[in-house]
This record gives sequence, C-alpha cells and structure tokens, in this order.
Amino acid sequence: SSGINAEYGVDSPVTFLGIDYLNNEEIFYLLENIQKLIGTKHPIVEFGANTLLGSTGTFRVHGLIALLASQIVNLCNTSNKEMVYNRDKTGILPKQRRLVEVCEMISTAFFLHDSIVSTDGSDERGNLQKGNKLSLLFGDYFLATACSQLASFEHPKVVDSISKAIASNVEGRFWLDTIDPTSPPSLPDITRYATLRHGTLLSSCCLSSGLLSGAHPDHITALESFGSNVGLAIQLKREVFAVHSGRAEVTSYPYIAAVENLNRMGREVKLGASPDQVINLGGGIERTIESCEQHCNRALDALNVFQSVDDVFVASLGGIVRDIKSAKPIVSV
Amino acid sequence: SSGINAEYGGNHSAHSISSNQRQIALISELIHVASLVHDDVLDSAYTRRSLVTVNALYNERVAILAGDFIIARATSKLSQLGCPETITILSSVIRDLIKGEILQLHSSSPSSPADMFGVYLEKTYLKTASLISHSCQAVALNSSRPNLQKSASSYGKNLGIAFQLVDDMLDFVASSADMGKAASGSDLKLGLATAPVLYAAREFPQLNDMILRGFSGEGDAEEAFHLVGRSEGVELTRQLAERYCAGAIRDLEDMPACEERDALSSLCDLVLNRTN
Repeated sequence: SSGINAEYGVDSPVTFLGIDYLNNEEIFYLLENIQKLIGTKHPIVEFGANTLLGSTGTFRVHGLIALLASQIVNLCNTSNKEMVYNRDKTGILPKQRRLVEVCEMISTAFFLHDSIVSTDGSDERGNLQKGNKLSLLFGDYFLATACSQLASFEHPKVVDSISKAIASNVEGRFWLDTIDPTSPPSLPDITRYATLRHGTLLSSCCLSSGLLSGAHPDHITALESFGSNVGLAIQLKREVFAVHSGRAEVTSYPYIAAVENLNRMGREVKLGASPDQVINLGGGIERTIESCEQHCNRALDALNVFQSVDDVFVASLGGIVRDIKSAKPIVSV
Repeated sequence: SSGINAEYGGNHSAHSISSNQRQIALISELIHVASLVHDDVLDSAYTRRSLVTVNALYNERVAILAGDFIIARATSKLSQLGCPETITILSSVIRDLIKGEILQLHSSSPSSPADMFGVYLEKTYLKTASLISHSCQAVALNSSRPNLQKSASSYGKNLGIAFQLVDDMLDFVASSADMGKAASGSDLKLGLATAPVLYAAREFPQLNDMILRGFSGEGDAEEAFHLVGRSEGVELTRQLAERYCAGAIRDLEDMPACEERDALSSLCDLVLNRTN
C-alpha cells in the first residue's frame, strides 16, 4: 500500500523510540517499577512490554504524514538556501525529524495520562494505584522531555504552536471525559471535541514543520488545515473500525450521529439500548464515513497548494489520505 | 514564592521590573502549581495548605488534565517572550522536576547509606531548588546586567536547598505557635528519608534498615520519629541550612547594594527562622 512505500521514501521507521531517549536512568527506574506490576491488569504493563519494544501505533501514521509534509514544503521553498543546505538526503531537515519525534512523545504522554484506571473496589494490593502513578510519571517524563527538545529548536513560534496543541488536546479530553450519556452533545460539538483531541497535534506538527522550513505563510496555513483535517479523518475512521470490532462507545461520532438522526426522524433512543444498536438503527456508520470523506477531501484541497512540487511526494501523501478515505486500514489498530 | 524571588531578583538588576521579568515570575509560578497538582495525585494527598486538593475535589483524571493544561499554558507564555535562551532555562526546570520525582521513586531502594545523603541533596535540588535557581537566572538574563546570571542562579539554588532543609526539619519539630500541635512526621509515613533522619542514622545505625525499606515495617515510622528526637538530626539539619543561606548571602555580594538586595538577604532569615 502507499503507506509502506511512503515509509521507504522517508528513509527511517517513524518512531522516536531511538536509543537516545531510552538509554537513560529515568526510563530504567520507571521500567523497573513497571516490571513489579506484571500480572496485574493495569494498562501500563502492556505499554511497557509492547510499546518500548515496538511502535505503539499511537502516532505512527501521523508521524509518517508529518515527515512527508516536511519533504513537500521544503521542496516548495528552495529559495531558502540555508534550509536547502541543511536538508538530509531525503530532503528533510534534522529539526523536522526531531519535531516529529517530539510530537510522538507528546502523543504517547497523552496515551499514558489516559491510562489512569478507576480504583474503586478491587485494588487490594494497591497495584492499580501504583500503575496509575507510573502512568502519570511516565507521561510527565515524556512531556518534560518534549518541552526540553522543543526549547532546543530555538524557534519560539514552534514552541507556541505545539504548546497550544497540548492545551487544546487537554481541553478535548476534558470535554470527552465529561460527556453525560443521558444528555449527549450535538454533532458540531462532538466534532469540535474530536478535532481538539485528535486534530490539533498533527495540525501543529505540520504547521511547525513549515515554520522550521521558513515557508511562505500560505503554505503554512495549508499545512495547518491539512494536518487538522487528516488527524480528524483518521480518528473518524478508527471509530468506524471500533464499531465493527464490537467496541462502540457513547462518546464517539458514530453514536452521536446516530442519536441525531434518530431524533430528526422523531424516534427516541430506547432506554437500555446498547451503543451498537443505536448506531445501527440511526445509520451512525454511514454518517461517520461521510464525514471522514469530507475531511479527507478538505485535506486533499489543502495539498493542492503544493501542486508545483515533484509529483512523487504529493502522490504519496495524497495516496495515504485516499487510503484513509476508503475502507482500507493503513496500520492494524 | 519562587515568583517573588524572581521579581526581587529582577528588581535589583535594574530598579524596575521589566514586563519580561514579570512574565518569568508568572511562568515559574505556573510551573510550580502544575507540579503541585500532579504531586498531590502521586502522593494521594487530599489536602494541601489546609485546602482540598484538585484530585480530592474532582478526581485523579481531572487533576492530571489540569496539570497538563497549566504546563501547556506556561510553555506557551514562555514562547511568547521570544527569547530562545530563556525558553531553554525555564524548560529545563520542567525536566528537573520530573527527574526529581523519579529519583524519589527509585531512592526507596538506594544502594548504600553513604549514597543516601548525596541522593537526598540531588533530589532536593531537582524538586525544589532548580525552579528558584533557574527563575533567578532567567530574570538576570532579561535584565540590564545579564552577567549576574551565575550569581543569581547560585543564590536561588542555595536559598532553595535551605528552604527544603528547613521544611524537612519542621516535619519533626512541634510548632511552638500552635500550642499542643504535634509535629506531623508525615515524611516518614510517606516512606521518605530526609536530612534529620539521615543524620540520626549516623548515631542510631538501626535506622538504616528502616530507611532501606522505606519505613514500611510495622512501627517503623513511630520508632524512627522517636530516634530522630533523641539524636542531633534536627540541629545538624538546621546547621546545614544555615550554611546554604550563608552561601546565598555571599552570592548577593556580587549584586549592587540596594533595598531589593537587602530584601533578598532578609528572605534568607525568613527561610531559616520560619516555624511553619
């Protein structure tokens, strides 16, 4: 698929899990403590075992997208001699690669901070609580490392953009956490929350890549829109897959869309109906797929700004967006 | 409080506080608050300074989100100063705070008694002094006398360590102002070995095993508290704090004599002599 071909184009597996970030005392101490929780059900154990040995997939395809976008914006900016000089053999600046690593770290931090489980009742040995503390500490470690790395770019606007993305992400998570299933939000609201949670980091990453390249403001705006729409589209498609694999949630777009459809048809959501049932009755999947297509098209429109660039890179990136649009999964979820 | 330090620091470099310096003071307070919010989750604390903690008022998830949000806002404000060097100085604080927490987690199984004091001082620097030291440095950088950065940074570090030493000491000392209020010994209950206990272990070696198991044995915390009371631990801690304060005052000598310098000097007295 174009996803795998695109990885060859950017020359390295897209993950920050390089030796530098893992070869230090702090990670060692944290891992030691995670080992003590093996056998408990806390999510951090799975994180420790799988994530650090391979990619989590939390930002894998996003990182790839951001790197391709970096290649493209650099190609459009060849009048910037200093940037041209500093590019590596794939046409990407070292700072742009580090930026993608930073964003993957931040995304991982969010994943860890979301791994807090409720400890009401069954936590006799306090293992769940210990797992929660490790999730918090580990997440903070990645956030703090990301902040130091950001500082090293010596580009205040990049720091500003990524910081605002972190704040937006928190806002999105807060709204999603506090949804009351008996009084669900509107479709525009759930779209806003999902964009905050899933679109702002990729948007900011692409935008900041443009800033690091010294790109034209029109290109930077295009990158911002591209990232935001793709980030949301990926999440919408993931939510469709989640319904197919029996993991439908009331805080998801398919559910809210189904509820809104049913209400418009004058039908009430039956008390005790499962999310699956509601989604099927209300055509939630179809609406989500439609919305995903819309956002993919907006992303492709944003890419048109880069028409002057060598077709190969734009085609790769466009190919990934089309893969998201059609039902094919890019990475196994 | 670290904000106030930073403001005073700025003041005596230029006799008026620039807006950048005010922002630095604000940012350092934001970083401090964010770290407290997350610390309360880590310690499962329900009160702080007699107020309910965020995690107790809402829940742990909200507290974690709140801490993340505050750090994001602090970093955003930091970027708006437009000064890469300042951004680097203050973002290293965020890194130091988390390093300190992880070191604290790990130091529940230290390798030897000799290492313990070194680890304790390093942890104290990372968790308390780094913020004050770097804020002072940042404020000096953004003044008319950036060459004072080293002295300002050293002042902040010495004051910060002295502050924490006194804090750790007060955990073992009944406050004379609050009649009948017993010392809390709460650090022991959290499994933490601070300066008074580390000093006491030199007189009462049986404390070493208790320290190594984080006072988790039955009756450990009570016995350790009692032994510290019988030892020179509290007094030696106080003397150490005095030495750090003396260092801080020496750092001030590089700065121009003025009202603000006197204020910073009397801050050292305040730190040493407070009772709560």
